[in-house]
Amino acid sequence: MIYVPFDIGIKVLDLYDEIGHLFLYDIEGIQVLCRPLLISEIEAVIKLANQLPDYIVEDWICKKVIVHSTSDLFTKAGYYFFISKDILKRSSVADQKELEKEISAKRSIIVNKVDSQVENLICSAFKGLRPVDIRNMTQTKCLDLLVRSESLLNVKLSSESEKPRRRQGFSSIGDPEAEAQRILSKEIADIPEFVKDNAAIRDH
Amino acid sequence: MDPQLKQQIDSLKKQGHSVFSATIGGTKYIYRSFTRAEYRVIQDKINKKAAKARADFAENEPTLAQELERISESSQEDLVVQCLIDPVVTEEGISGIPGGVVPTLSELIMQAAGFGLDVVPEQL
Repeated sequence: MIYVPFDIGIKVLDLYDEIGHLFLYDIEGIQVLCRPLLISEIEAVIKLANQLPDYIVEDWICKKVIVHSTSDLFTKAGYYFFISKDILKRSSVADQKELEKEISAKRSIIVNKVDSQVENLICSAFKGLRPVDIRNMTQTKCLDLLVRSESLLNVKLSSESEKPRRRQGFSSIGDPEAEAQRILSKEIADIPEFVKDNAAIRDH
Repeated sequence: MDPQLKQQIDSLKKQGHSVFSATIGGTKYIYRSFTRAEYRVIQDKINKKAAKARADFAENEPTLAQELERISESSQEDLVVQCLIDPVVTEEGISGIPGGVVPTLSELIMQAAGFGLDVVPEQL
């Protein structure tokens, strides 16, 4: 484990929560912690790369992505050159085929994850919510919403197969999704109070 | 090794530079890496010259290509003048170095400065 000062550790946790993954380089004995470029940042690089000198783009990328390094990276000119090129490569998907591969890999990870299924189910029932809003709730509130969502959508999250299945015995109401739409209409269903508490986060 | 040269090398190392030696064509050359700040100055100079060449020879592509090639060679010479510790060369004196040594030295200096790294990061 590398030495990480307190404030950097806090930053790492914040970024991990926000971004999902980080990269740790060991460059000639210097540990460098980087985040990937964001989609908007990649777009900026692609649009402006031909109009700006490379070294400026390299410096800008490194300024954005380097979270922490155990030593000064300015002592050698090539460090920024390498980090900027490598992080750009790792932040974006090169071509259509690779994109499809990436989506397929994500699908197998996310779709089969119970956490993701819980988020998807809640988002299907309460359209104003996004997965990130649910991750900003306590687990108790999340489970409360999950049960309400199951009830509204007439589906049940199965622990056996880890896949949501329609609850048995509700076929008499017709198409459950259409029914859920009806139940979720403004006239019938309203957003629960504690979800409103998260409005600031959601609207942010 | 000359004590003055050793002192200079120690001082450069304390500043964070890497110092290397290479024997090319029977002559020993001692050179150092260069910083990002130095790289910015070098690149800025190249960009200014290249922009001027593009403006001056916009209508003449072969001449523009030649001029850009000359700028590239000139930047290699500048890098060698800046980073060669022993023997010391000046801008005027670099023409005394055998042909082919300057591009080789320039390449070695670039490697010393971390260009050409091949590191695979650990994903957290």
